[in-house]
Amino acid sequence: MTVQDPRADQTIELSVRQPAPGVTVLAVSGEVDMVSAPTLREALVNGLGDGGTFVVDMTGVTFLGSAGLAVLVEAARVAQQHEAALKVVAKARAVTRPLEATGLGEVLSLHQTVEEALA
Amino acid sequence: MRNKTVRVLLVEDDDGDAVLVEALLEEASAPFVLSRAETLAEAERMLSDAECVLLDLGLPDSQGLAGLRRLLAKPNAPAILVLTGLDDEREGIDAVAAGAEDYLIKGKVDGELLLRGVRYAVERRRAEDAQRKLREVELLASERSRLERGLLPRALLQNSDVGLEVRYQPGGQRMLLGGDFYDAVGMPDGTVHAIIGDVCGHGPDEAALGVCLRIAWRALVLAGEPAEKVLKTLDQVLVAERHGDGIFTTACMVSVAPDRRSVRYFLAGHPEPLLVTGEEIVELPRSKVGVPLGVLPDYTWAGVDVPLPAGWSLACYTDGLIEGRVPDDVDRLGVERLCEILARHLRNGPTWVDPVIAEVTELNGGPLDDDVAILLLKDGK
Repeated sequence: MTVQDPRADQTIELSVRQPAPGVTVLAVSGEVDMVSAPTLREALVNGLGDGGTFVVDMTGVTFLGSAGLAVLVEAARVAQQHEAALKVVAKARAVTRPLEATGLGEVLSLHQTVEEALA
Repeated sequence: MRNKTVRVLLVEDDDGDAVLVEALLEEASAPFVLSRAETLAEAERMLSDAECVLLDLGLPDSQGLAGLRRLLAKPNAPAILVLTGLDDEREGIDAVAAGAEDYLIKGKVDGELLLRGVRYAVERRRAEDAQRKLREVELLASERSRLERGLLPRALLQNSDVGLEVRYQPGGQRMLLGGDFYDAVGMPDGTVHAIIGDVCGHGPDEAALGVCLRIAWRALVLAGEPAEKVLKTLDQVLVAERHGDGIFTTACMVSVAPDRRSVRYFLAGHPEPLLVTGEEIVELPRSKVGVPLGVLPDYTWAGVDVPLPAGWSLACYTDGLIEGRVPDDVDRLGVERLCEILARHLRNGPTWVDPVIAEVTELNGGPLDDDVAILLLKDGK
């Protein structure tokens, strides 16, 4: 699924795979800003409703704005409600920097790789 | 208007009457594009393409004024002229009272009269639309100024030796403000408290929440609540007032001591202030950043104490300032590059706020996506 950002010719790419029963990996790439965040939110909230383990792989994210951070915060709440395990793969500076700067790193379960998140 | 083609929709189930109207328009050599619907349902589907509707009140699926009311209720309904029979003039008058532009009596109307009726109706509708749009713009402007008064207050720093400079720039092309807010209050003991905050998201809900948090902060500070408790209480206010579970707010709260030689600041997921002295940017100690408001229940934010050199300035800002784009780089501007820009402008003197915003905006290639708020406190001793 690709969403075009009309302001800056930027896109967000989302792809979902299920490597094992009850395990979902959502790979996100591009810029997660106020235009693209609602698409990410929809994918996360819908996916977390099933419970299990949900990994958000943000390796390909080049920008994570406050709208994207808000989506992750809400997703953490939804995961708690549905007794799902939400894990975020954050390796790129574009993702780790805003998470550190806002102190949200201590709210989310952060991992370097998808393999580590699933271990 | 005289030579402009007007798109007219004739809503008439009687073939004879339809041919008559067509003939009248041809007789007047009018620049019209005429389309026809035989039922009201068909007319509703074709309505968006019409600038003027000639409506017969006796249709297979609608009798009397009900059809007129249905068409007028549609968004952006065009001008509507009602066609009535010779013995139905009363109904024509009622139709005008119900919102039709005019009524024309079949059999009494010639081509010139029909042409003039359509032209007047279209022009009147255009004038009404222009008037309505103007009212909407005025309403939006007054709404914005109401929000601005709430978000961008008059600081309570009378008789204080701390200088204050503030800027607010709404993001992108938006008319309405987002959720950035700030305030500053001087206390009887000489302490100066200030806050800058950013409600995540944009629009009237976020702006209203920003106003709510700012007023709550001011009330708590004026009531003499200790700084440690203020953020905790603001957190409770946010959770009670927000319109969605994911809504959080970042904030930076500072308290400048009465002797102006030290400051305590609290960070709730917010960028650290920049401490400027002369032409130098003093790096503040890398403190543990607390989470934003509205994220963790019963969280406690810790303050950081920093000495202030003579002639200090303390710049608090929202992240819109550091999230601008940079040419030929996927990375955004960031704090490091902001400091480089600031250092360069400091060499030109102390009035750096506007030039820095201008340069960041230029690097972005146009208006910044996010709102930018800057609150600059200055040593006045």
